[in-house]
Amino acid sequence: MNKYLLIIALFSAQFVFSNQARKKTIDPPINFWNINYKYPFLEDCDACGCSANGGSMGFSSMIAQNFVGLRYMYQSYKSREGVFNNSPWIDENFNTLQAWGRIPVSERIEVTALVPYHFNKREKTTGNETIKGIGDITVMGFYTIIRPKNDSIPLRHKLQVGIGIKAPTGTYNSENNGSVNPSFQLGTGSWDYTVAGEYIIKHKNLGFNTMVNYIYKTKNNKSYKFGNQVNYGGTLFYSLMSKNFAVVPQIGIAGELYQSNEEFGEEVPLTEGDIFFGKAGLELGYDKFSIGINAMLPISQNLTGGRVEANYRFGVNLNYSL
Amino acid sequence: MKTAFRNTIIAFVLSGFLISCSNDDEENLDGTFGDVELFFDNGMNGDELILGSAYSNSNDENLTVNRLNYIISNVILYKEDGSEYIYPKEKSYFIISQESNIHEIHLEDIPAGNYTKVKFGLGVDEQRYLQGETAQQEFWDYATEHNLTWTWSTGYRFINFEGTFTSSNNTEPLNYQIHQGSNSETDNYREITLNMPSSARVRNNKLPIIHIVADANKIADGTNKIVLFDNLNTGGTNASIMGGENLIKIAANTMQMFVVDHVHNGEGSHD
Repeated sequence: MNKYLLIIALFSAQFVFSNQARKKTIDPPINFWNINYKYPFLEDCDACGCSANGGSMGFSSMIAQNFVGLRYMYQSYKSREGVFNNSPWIDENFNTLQAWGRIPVSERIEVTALVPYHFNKREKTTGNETIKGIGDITVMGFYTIIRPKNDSIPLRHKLQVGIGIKAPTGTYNSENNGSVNPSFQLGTGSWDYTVAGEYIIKHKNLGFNTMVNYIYKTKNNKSYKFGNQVNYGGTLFYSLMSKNFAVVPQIGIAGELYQSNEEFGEEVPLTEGDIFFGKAGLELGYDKFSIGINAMLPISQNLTGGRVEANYRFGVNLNYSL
Repeated sequence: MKTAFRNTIIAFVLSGFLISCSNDDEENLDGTFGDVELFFDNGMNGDELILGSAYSNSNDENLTVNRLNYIISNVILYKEDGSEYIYPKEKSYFIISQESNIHEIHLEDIPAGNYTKVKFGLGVDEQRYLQGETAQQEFWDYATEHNLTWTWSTGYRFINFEGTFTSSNNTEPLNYQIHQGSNSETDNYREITLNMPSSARVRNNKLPIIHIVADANKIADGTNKIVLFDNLNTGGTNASIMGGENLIKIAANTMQMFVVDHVHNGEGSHD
């Protein structure tokens, strides 16, 4: 619990500092959406494509509308190696390096692509296991239903809906799918589909982003189907900007709900679950570059019948605006 | 450029739908066979059984287990349609031994299909025993190696569960031996049927693993409570449970001793 408080305190402090520094800032630049609270939900299945993935990892806010970037995510889990209450916990680390970009195709339509590379490790009592390689590539299209009409009014909002598809470019290896974490994979091995919605409301420099998405997963060629998934999140952010600089502290919550996995059409016991996170982050922008850091700590969780536990998630990114 | 890009996206999405909706092939299993493994993971009331470790039970006794061996026999597998496959009786006697690290029963040449229930005997049935010593010499010798026999006239030990115990009555550890078996008065061989949470898919070149958890704590601490201290010998040095009413109680307890935790249908080794 102390670690949560520490992180929250840390970012709250920045929040307060930002408020104090506000007077020094020049008026927000023309485009409110420059500080872009977008796509925390694009994490669909990029962490491991599985029931304990980084589904709601809210590493979001880009400082540019259109960009290409690189992001690194680290997820720490532990899982029971065995079926007993006193079976040993083993550490599992999921590392992801991801190239991503966001491109407008018309005034209301945007396309996002995510290309992850995973290197995952688990420390079993019989020795370490690692898997690495390209993960599942996701492409999503978004349509803007409500756009902020006028940048000069203090209260503005925006609503977007999207659909996406994830291709099974990451390897699914059924040998990794033992009685421990079924999600120790590079990909789901399946074509998965997403519908997503996001709403952002902003008053002056303070904003709130909410998002929800649903991932429909299909059966892979080993007749294994990862459970359909709901991700949701809410992020409070404050944008502090000058001509060349932007500083955006943020704090929020995120959650993931999983249905049971299925193998050969039958439910796999103990694979449904849920997890709820607190998160905090900070974005810094300079000229066309921006960097961000973000951390998530679970507040409550029940993954795979308690046989898998998430410890924390951490991410950094570097983006270049187009 | 923009149109080309958009078309590419649309094509990508559509191709995904096409590919994902096209692989539900019916398999013909007639006349094909596969293997299946029963994996027995021994525990004590939810904890992993580690020989030499102590476990408290609901009788307020603390058991340090030094041995857990038992005989599994007469395996029958049931398909989802209710049909059964009886594993050939002459091959259907097995030993599980914690000290010798024997946890697996490998069954061969099972008709391919989806099995949802398994039945097995705990111990040796009377019919088999009455076939006499020469008919089963090989298994008898194997059982003797694992301390699962008395003399031929008194027969097999179905379970050998030994160690030491302490309780509020004895802070110094005393030995216990629970040797389950049949005798001239009672037949304590029992058959146990377990449902599986998902089916074991027996196929040529596949090895489904039925992961069974055996809770050894149930032997003395099940529906029937057997307090070891109450079974001490007259010298008060040793609790030996090898006959009488206790064996009937143990037989009833062992009906709840086993559960299928999960079925592993993936390829490769078992975690």
